[in-house]
Amino acid sequence: MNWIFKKTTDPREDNIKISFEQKREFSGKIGEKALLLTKNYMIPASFILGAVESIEIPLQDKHKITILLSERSEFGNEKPLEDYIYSIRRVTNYSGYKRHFARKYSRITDLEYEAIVDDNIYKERTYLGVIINAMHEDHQRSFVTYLAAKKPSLLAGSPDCEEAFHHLKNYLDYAILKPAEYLQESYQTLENMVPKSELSTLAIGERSHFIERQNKVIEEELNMFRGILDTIDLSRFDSSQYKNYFRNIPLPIQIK
Amino acid sequence: MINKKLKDLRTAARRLTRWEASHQAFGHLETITKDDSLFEFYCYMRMLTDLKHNYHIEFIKGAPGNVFPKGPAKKEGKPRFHINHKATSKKYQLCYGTTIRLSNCAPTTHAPDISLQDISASEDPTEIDVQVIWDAKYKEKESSLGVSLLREFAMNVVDFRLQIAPSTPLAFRHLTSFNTNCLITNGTISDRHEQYCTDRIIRQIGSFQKGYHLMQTVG
Repeated sequence: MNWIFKKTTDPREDNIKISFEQKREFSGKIGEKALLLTKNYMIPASFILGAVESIEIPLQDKHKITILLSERSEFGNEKPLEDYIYSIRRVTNYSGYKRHFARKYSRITDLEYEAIVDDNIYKERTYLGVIINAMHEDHQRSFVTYLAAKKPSLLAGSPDCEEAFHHLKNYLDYAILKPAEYLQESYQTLENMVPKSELSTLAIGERSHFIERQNKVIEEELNMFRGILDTIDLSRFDSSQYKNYFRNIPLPIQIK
Repeated sequence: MINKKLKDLRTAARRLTRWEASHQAFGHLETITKDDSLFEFYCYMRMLTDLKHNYHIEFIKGAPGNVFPKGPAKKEGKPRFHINHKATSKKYQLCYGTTIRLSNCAPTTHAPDISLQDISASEDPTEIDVQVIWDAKYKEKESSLGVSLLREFAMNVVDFRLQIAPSTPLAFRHLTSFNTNCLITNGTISDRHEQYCTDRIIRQIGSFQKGYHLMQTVG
């Protein structure tokens, strides 16, 4: 078994002492792998359980556990836990994923540990989850409607994340990226036909749906987003281990 | 590397799916009330770009604010464009999304996505002021226009008592097939309704896409 320990401070030392009290004994063993989770839900380094000490507290039916995390192995950059939640099976609340790590420590499987340490994530599920859960909630609902029409079995039973991602890409192109390009080209037309002083006031549908401001967002994000989507080639990944591990787990879609 | 990629995807997906100022959903939604407004507006802009070659284009400000309406809206206070032929000085109003009253059955109105109105048309126009109408339908890839959409559009043409073309046809540069009542789509059109369209003086325009000039037409 592998472990994630929360610590509000992150002393940059090779050995870190973690102490807590609990009723049961701590089941970790010396030599097992561990990760540190900071208060910002970042993972800076991996460790080995160097020592585990358990002392009974008289009259309180509790143990004071002291663990020494040793052999610190720093990651180049801190890793946000948020990027790995789609490879950790027990996470079901994607916007409130922190709740799953509210306790002083959590257990993770070998596969989940490797996902974090080696960035060997469940790519199909991660791309799917990251994009869907960042989308406006109306688009999340709209995508579910779209998926229900295209391939309803993906919303029930044992979903195939790769196939769902393929539908998501089509949905993004149809519902968001093409309309964004329409707005971009429309803005270019307006620039040639509307006095400069009026350009920033032009809106579609609602008074605050300003064409110029939205065009700026599209300029900043669209090509980069398309570029990343185009380079994602899921056929290169072997996700058979994850497919097995996430069998019967629904797609990572969370609709309020 | 993966963390940077995911961060960029997350940021872009958040920003591109929302209107920057209102935080409402941006784009096309597959909900009960489908929102085609960005495609409709794009068609309006494409027509203006094309007409600019032969017409002086004048922007008529809205008040208060310059809000091109989504869905039927009163003409009064909405922005629009006036076009003035460079050689003949023939003028028209090119209106977007605003309602037109049927004079013999008030208070019924229709609001075509785009309408060509006489330059003298008031802020509360009737069918008498209207020359040609265009509606736009946004579709996914190969989806085509169904007969119910054609019928609905043809009925508007009948209600407005429109002719096959404006009294003085528009001098389009490239979009010459737009010189009649058109139902425009980025999707495909159906040949088998050709006779229906011809008889009802409407035209289907398909494959109308960004940067793509080979449109299909029927009717």
